[in-house]
Amino acid sequence: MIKLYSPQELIEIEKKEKSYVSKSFVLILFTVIGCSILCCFVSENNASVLRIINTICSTMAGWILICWYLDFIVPMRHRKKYVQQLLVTEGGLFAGEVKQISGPITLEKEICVYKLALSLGEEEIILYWDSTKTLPSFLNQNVQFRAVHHKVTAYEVLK
Amino acid sequence: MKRLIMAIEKHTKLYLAWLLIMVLFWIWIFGFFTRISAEEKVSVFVGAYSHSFEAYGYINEKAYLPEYIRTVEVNVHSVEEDAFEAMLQVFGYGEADILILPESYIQFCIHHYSPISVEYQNLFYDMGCDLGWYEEQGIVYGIQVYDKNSDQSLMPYLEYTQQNVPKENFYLLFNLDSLHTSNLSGEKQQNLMDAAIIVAKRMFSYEEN
Repeated sequence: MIKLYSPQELIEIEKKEKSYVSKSFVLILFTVIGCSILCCFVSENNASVLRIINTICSTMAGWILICWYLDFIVPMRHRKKYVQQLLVTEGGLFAGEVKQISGPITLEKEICVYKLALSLGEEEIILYWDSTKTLPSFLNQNVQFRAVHHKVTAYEVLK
Repeated sequence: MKRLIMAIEKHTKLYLAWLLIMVLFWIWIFGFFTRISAEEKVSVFVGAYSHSFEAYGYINEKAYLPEYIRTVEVNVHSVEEDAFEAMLQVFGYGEADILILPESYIQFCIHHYSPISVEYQNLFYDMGCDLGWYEEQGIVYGIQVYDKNSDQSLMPYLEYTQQNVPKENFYLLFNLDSLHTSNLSGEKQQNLMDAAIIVAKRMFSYEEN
């Protein structure tokens, strides 16, 4: 069976997350120090210019931090939890023919997935395939999936 | 790049809120840094019918001001304004060293003004301030700057009348709490700084072009 997730992936996500967090702290530090230094040189003549510089610098830094936090750090944390959950739980096996592939759709916590309709004889179940993983051309093929809460963690194409 | 643009669009309100917070924050901080203390400025409150103060540049000339004075602040508020009394309380009685007010606003608040000793009355009289004085119980508190009967004014750059409003006399007064009135009242405990008196004299000497 081909596994979709590995502990290595978890380590890489953690690394990326830590890198963004440390970059954020460096940016905060530089902005605070920079603005404080400029404040030391305030006089009646240059106050308006320094105020504009400080406003621009702190606004830009804040925007970058908001962007990093909401669009990189938070989704990475969600993804880390998602992968952790899938690695810890063994899950069940489902073998059948893939009838339909649709999506991508967004599950809870911004995790993006494809929907696979799997026919198990008379029954049909829906499985979710992580959109960050390359989706092989499963349509009308017999495949065995390992899934945790309907989220595919491993697969094997049956002949 | 597309992802970034989408992300920015998603949190537009947050980015705008941050911009607003930073603008207000730095206005407050720099206001604090550049604030001029009461010792370093003379504040004038004008309560007439004017909306501007033509002599601002003239009374702010560094050459005549004492070294310790960084600026002369002028607050001009029209008597017609709805919030005039509130402005008078805050910027007038609270901050101003010199006040120019109509008679009706003076009589019930006499405790806010500094008495003017005979010595200083003579000094202003010699300068040409001969319209009259504001007196209560024999004590002089104000120098008349506009006379409603003769329509004469010592500061012609201000407006003292308005249509459909009864005419009033206007007076220049010194705030009792001012740090810049030296021994104006002739009392020993007064301070050494006399910038308010210097500025008042300057206001009387301004000539319109």
